[in-house]
Amino acid sequence: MFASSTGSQTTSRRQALQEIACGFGGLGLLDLLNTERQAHGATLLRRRDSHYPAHAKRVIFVFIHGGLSHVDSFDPKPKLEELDGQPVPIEKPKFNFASTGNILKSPWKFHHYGESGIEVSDLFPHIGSTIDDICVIRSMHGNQVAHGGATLLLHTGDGVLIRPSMGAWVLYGLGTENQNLPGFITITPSSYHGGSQNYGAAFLPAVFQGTRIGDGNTAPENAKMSNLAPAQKQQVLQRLQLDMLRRQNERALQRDGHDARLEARIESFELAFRMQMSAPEVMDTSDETAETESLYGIGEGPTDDFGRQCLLARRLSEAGVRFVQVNHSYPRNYWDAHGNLKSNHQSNAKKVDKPIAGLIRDLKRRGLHDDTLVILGTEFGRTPAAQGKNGRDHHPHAFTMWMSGGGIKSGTVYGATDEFGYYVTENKVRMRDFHATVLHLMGIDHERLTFRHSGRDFRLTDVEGSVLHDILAS
Amino acid sequence: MMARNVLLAILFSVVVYHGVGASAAETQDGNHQLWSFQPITNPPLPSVDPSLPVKNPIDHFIFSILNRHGLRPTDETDPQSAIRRVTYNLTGLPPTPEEIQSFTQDSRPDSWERLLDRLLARPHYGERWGRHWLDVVRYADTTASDGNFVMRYAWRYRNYVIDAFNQDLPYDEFIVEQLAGDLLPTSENNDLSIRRVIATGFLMLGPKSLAEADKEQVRMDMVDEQIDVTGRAFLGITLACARCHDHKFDPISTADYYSLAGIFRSLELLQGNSGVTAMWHEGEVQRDSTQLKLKYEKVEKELAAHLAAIQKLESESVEGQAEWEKNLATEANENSDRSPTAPTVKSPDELDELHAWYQASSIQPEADQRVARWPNRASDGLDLFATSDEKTVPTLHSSALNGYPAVVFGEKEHLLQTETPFGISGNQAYSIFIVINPRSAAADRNQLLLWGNSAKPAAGSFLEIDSLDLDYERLDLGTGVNYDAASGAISMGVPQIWSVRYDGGVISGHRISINGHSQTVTATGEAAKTKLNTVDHNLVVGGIGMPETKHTVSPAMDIAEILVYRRFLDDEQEHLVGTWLANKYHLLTDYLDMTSQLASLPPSKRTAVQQQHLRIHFLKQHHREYRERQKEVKRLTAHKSSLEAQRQAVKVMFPKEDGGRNLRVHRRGNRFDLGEETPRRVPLQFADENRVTIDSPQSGRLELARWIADPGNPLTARVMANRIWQHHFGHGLVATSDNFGEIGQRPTHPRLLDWLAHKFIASGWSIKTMHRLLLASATYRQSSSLHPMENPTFNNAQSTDPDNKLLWRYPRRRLEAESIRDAILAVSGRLDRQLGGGEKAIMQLYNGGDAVDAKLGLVSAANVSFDYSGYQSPRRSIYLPVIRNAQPEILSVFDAANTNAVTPIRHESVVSSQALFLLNNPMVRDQSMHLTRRLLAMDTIDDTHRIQTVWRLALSRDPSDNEIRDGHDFIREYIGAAISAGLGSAAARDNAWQSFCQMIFCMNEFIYVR
Repeated sequence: MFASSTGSQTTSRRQALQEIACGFGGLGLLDLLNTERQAHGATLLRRRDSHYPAHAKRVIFVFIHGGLSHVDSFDPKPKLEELDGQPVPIEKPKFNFASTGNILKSPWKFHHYGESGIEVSDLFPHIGSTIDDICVIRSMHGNQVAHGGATLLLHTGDGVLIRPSMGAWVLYGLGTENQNLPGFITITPSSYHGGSQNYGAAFLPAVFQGTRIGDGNTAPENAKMSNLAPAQKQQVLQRLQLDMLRRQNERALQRDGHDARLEARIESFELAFRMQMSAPEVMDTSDETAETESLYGIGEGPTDDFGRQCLLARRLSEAGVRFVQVNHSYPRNYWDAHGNLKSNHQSNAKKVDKPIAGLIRDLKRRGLHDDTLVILGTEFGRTPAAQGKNGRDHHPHAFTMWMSGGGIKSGTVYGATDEFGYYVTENKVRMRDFHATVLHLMGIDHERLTFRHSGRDFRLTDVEGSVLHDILAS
Repeated sequence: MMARNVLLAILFSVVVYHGVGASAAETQDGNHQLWSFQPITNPPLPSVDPSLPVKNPIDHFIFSILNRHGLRPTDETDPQSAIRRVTYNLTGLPPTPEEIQSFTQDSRPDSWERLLDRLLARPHYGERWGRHWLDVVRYADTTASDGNFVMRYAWRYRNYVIDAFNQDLPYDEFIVEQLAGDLLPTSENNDLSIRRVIATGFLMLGPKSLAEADKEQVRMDMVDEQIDVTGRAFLGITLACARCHDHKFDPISTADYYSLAGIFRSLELLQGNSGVTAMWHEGEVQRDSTQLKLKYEKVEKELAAHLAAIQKLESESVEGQAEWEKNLATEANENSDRSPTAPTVKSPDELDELHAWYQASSIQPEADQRVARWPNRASDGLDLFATSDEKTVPTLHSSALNGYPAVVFGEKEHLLQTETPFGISGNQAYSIFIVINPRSAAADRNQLLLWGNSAKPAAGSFLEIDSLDLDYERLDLGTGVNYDAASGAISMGVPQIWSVRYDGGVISGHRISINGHSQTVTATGEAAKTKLNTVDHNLVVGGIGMPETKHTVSPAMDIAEILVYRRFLDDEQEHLVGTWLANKYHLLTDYLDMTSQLASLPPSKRTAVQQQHLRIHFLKQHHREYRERQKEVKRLTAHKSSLEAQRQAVKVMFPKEDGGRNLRVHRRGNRFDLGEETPRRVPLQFADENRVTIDSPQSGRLELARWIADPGNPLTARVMANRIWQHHFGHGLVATSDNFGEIGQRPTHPRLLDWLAHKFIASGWSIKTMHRLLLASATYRQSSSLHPMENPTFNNAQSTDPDNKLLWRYPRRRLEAESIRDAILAVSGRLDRQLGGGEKAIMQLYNGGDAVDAKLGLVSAANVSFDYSGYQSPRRSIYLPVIRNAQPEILSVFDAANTNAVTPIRHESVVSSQALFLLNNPMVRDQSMHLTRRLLAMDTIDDTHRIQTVWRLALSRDPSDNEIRDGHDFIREYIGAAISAGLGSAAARDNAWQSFCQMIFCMNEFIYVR
């Protein structure tokens, strides 16, 4: 039914189906299933076994949009304090976004936190307090100097070419647990910098694309999934309509003969009817205790918005949504501190610090943390040198992201940058290594998760990517 | 680590392609035997069992293979299904009940062929098939990726494609124009030259990552994208695979790749940048030619001579004028008490503008206290004297008037630039003049509307001044001011001037006149005795029509001009403005004839301007030379402005030819790691027999294009014939329609494909000829039934060919996303079928975007949301802006083309998000309501007629007795349940029908074509 643009003749349909049925072996051949008339969305979303036992069953990806400065958050550089205002003594990178001047010290102090003693700046005291649950990767390295390319690189593995998003790949690989909910949800995603490409399916069947709740302009309390609110408020009336529909569709089937696609379509209306009921239940947070809400900072001014997003993410994850993304995004929020680094990062951090720490705590106390992978990602870091008087420019050459939860070696730091934070000096992590590791934690071999399109087999990691074995819990 | 990865990649490929490893190995020996690279043959028709219902050669090929598998074709489908199927296939729209009836009643032996001819002649054909091509060339109006910038001239390429299909432009020319139209020999025909430049927009449409510091990298990525689309669209091979390494399966080496890349890199694709962001190339195309210039100068000279002669005549005293004036004055006296005459149009030559005359008078219609006016721009106006065929409704479809033409004075574009939106508010006095031309036959069912809020008008009344005050709604209902329509009938095709004045007092004080003839306004009800009392609403003026026939709705009238004054004009002033308009539009009205009036004045009392006015009128009526010269002036002026338009430059997105240059191989695609230089040429595999050396100083695109479009190219005709087949039969003879290479699928009917390709070339690459051929076959006209009764070999077919690859029945197919949307609008009666255009929609997008660098033209559409207002347009889906990453939901949810990539085949997914859309999206609910209104306005008391009407409109057939009974039961039960749920009985009825109509839009039978 999904006609992919190519497919192998020599593997029979039966073989392909067998391989699907037998588990993961057939994953790379899923496109063959697409030509199979019986297949429909529900089949493609059915839960599938992973290549090997998974550490994490689900992902919550927190996206910090605009470029979180590594040297002001998780990668302390005392040298910047020492040489503040002086020229950068090493060569600046060949490709830059804009021009920068002399060294700018961080406006924030760093402190050691937890048993691990990992240093975190005063921007993130709450995350600091839970640092023992986190593995900080200080050696991220990208090649895109502008937001668009870098954001796409983070989400799809390629800053230029059109590729499926990480969430779509995970859903394609594993299917989803709860058939009454979408398997990949992104909360208030931005339309900027690649927009829907960042949660799109590209050439994968569209059923794997992310379902958005609201968009970048929506306040979380108003964010909704589209078309979920019944057009007829009276359920009994919509039921009458659906019964009539079913009667007409079945009569046509009798007349024209059995057709699996048309039968699947009849069922899709019943599923829609059920989704109308189950999705709002998950989205409705009124049954949460005040104590839980305060964990996320809900009702506390600056943290209210993002707290709601993080709480919703936990509820969706808990309900079986495979991949959830939380966005701190354009145009309502952006970390792009070309000027006024201090006020920009301070006010942004204030909004997200407590909610993110709350999310980790809440997952832990519910026993979900062990098999949930929480990722904090940003498209790039910021230059150690000043842009203008008090800002920092884009810096993809070295920056920080972190992971927490399922299968991660907690309370550790991976990789290192030079004394200014300009270049990676140890354990360079390219985005494809990062993606390979995420897939690995989900039990997927990134080299075997392929989709045949336009004459070749594609992967999230293209022909690269190495799993970061050092950050995995043994 | 890199080395390890490369190794892994190779190992990985071997493992993955193990299944096709044998054929892949063949590519290594250089002597490639792949079927698609062999010359196209012209196979003889296979013989076929004479008992089969063969209609044309296609059937020989299809039936003989079916026969070989022990299968037989399914019975011919019924005529209703046949016309529905072919109408959707060719036009993307449902057939109207009238079309179905005329086809099913046509007993001529060639009724089917006649139907095909009718459908192929329709402009909607190009919209449907143009869209197929746009899928393949990844059409969009924005750049995607980082900035998602608006490509504001891409729409010209879209319209070019639609036109090309409608004109049946030979496919080989179509190819050459898109790749190298700008390099074709210059043509005397300017429009042709421009069209060919527009065509090269093909190369520029791709997604672009522009915010990249390394500009050469930007160019090489664009080049790569161009190579990819060229290979897959025209040749069905994946050339771009060879960017980093030799193609693993097809005989394309990296040297081949960089030979091609040299051709495309010989274009300048960028023009400047804003900071780190590059701007792609676009610019003006000069249309002017020496020939045009000479023509223009000649016309200019002739015109000047006539004007000089006219001026001379006007300045001399003329014999006979005094006598003429005397007669005129006498006549005017005699007619001073004349009764109102039926308005008739005078010849435009008889009257002329009196603008100058008004300069001396007390009121200047052009300036005095007028707060709003439409048209604001000359191009919006309407020439009331155009023949009715040429007349078009001004493009004013306003959501305020449900898509009927309307002028909304809250919209800035309709206002003079310095003025703020005009609304009716409080007890503000106003005077409004409206010049209209009624156009509907059912004039008595049309309305001229004038109202001050967004409440939707109801049908039925003749003139409404609706909702100026919330206390009264409909003037004709006797609750407020009652305008007596009988005394001033609207006559078809006769332009007329309406004036509506309100002095700010009681509502009943409204004064209405038509052509200067005052209308009776009576006041009833308490509300009429009060003052207007509304909050500030935009003034909306428009005409709404009623169905002309059962199934079409036309606008009631053309609107030529509207003048709005924010004060009450007294009778004298109203008269002056009315007279001015009457003269401007050459209307004979009750407004006094100025010329007669002037003639009555003694010459000593006339001003110089008035004196001249009279002389001009005399000359016009009685001076032959003067009249003829005037005629010539008119003709030459029109000619001059048409030449002017022709000479004007057109803004186009196109790549700039930048001279030929060869590239060196970029090892592993890395531009800093260069290998040997590769001369520009076509891939070596093909170059042996068909040698193309590109040593021209140009890029070599023309040579490449001509090689692709050569009848000897084994791929081109096969690939396109296969695409045409695919769109008629659901899947191609080669299922991988953009991959005819080694790992593409093999054709199910290789001989048929060759026969078609041969035929295609022999027909002069005529796509319409191919349609006639395919659609006239018995294969096409089979039933899609899966009922064993209709095919004697059904069980066998189900087990040996469940996917119907051999076409033992017609495949049932889901409508494509655009057709679903267009069909819903067509059935609800809201579809705007206008052809072409679309610039306005793009400029709206462009003007509403974030200007990153307005001077360069870098405007981002990144802020556009999924419910972008531009998507509300009632036009066909192909004319909606294609905003990458923010496609309208109805298109994305129903598997529209991926706007970022070549989409050779549309998915046909079945997912619950589609069901949710159809059940709950406001668009579907709204259109169901429109359809409901259509049904409830029917002149019948029997719901059976309504059910039949829906069935015919939406499903192209009559409902069965059971279906009619179901319909009745549903409406009854639903009304009952709705009333129990607390709805009033009228609302319950509306709601029941709305849900019924919506249910139809959800039905499998509506969404699928049998």
